[in-house]
Amino acid sequence: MPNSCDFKSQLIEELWLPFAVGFADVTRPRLRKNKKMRVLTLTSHDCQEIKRFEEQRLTKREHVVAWNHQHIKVFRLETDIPPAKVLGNSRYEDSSSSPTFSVGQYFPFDIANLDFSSQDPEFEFGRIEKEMGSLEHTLRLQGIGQCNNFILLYTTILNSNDLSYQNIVRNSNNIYVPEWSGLTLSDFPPSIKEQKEKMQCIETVLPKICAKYHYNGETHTKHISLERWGKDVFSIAAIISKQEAQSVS
Amino acid sequence: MSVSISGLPTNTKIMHESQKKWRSRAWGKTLKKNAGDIENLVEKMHILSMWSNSLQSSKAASILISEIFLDGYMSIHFASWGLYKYANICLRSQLESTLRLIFFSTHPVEFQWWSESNDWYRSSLRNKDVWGEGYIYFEQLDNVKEFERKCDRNHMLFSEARKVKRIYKTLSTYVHSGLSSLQVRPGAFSPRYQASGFRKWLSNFKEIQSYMNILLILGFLDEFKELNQTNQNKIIDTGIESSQHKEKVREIIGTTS
Repeated sequence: MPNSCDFKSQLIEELWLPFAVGFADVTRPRLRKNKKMRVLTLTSHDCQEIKRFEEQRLTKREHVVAWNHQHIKVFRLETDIPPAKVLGNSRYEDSSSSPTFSVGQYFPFDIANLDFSSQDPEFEFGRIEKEMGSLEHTLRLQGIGQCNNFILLYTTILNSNDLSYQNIVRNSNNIYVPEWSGLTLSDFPPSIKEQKEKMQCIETVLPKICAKYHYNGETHTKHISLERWGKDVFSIAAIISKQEAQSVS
Repeated sequence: MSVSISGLPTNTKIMHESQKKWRSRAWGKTLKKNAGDIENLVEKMHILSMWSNSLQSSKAASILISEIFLDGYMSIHFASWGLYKYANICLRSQLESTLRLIFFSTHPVEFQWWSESNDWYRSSLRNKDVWGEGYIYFEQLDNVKEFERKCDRNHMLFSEARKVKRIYKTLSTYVHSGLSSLQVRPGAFSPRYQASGFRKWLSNFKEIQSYMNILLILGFLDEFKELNQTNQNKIIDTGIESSQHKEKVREIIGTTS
């Protein structure tokens, strides 16, 4: 399995950066030297995206919160990118639902880069379902932080394990939001085997979860085949914006 | 941040210039001869990230596991710089923190006292550490008793062979500057790579990580059983040295190797 650092540059240059720059130019046209975007990024010791975001004047390190669950990488990141805040010591997808989630106090963010491919993923059943659960918690926290628009990047590695759409629906519907009717089981088969259908599922579910928290999500995707390892990298970039309030008649 | 040498006071300048040389010299030599060993040790340190994730709801764990990691990681650094005495001192600290973590997991009140720098165990109970006299507390734990029952005499951690007590005693000679554990050697005042010092430390390091993982498994057995099989195997296979210890731990968790 290649190091995520090897394919990350392609994701950065062809998807993440163009999206982020476009978003920043529209939302902060007058800030030229530094768009001052607050960034949350799941990253590895290379922290390529942080450096590229800085080079493109989207942010500076003092506005960055980086996350990795491995102590050795937290140590390295703290050494390499001060004064960025470096957090971790647990997997993001295992801690995002906790009331004591350490990143919680730093929300909201202008860019939330949930790059799970950089977190040395364990290829067990239920991994992507958990990641999507933490993606929803991230949206929830953005909503609590009253963030009106931001960039959401989600990257994962698809392997041969089936994707359980049933569990995605169940996990999401277990997070109660008033007046939310829930995800529909009939949209996809309970268990998805084909890679293309998994990507379609993720791309379809994301805007629906956004709507749950009164956000619209406009998505673009990128897929990199890791044929030699029987895996695929799937990355989705979304501009998330608050739905306009319904007028009361 | 580079330091402007010319502006430094005299003694500080002497110290700064010499540390740059002995550190890089010792580091280079250590890596040249022992890079494979170092890689192996860092792999063992990765296990602590698994424990950290598994025990994230525990306040004691969130504090102590980071400290246990840093003690181990700095131990590797010190040893790679030829600072064997200090590298071994870190290992004793790792063991103590592990024992404290297990004790605090069922003693939240004492954890709160300890967090507030209350040394009740010293002043009123005259004990050296929070868990009481010797290792009596750990010997009473059901999982530890069962483990000890399964091990032969030479592999017991607290009874008979007293592996934990012996390694603690060995490491304490570095804390208390026992003659055999001094940093300074005849003809070697400044830190440098020494094969014998490195080997001795390496053996201590592996032994400590091994006992740490055994004790964490026994102390947090329910949490360990919730880990997926891959991670359980990684902790046992990478984190524990002796085949008998691996086998007995597997018997306790109800799996076969």
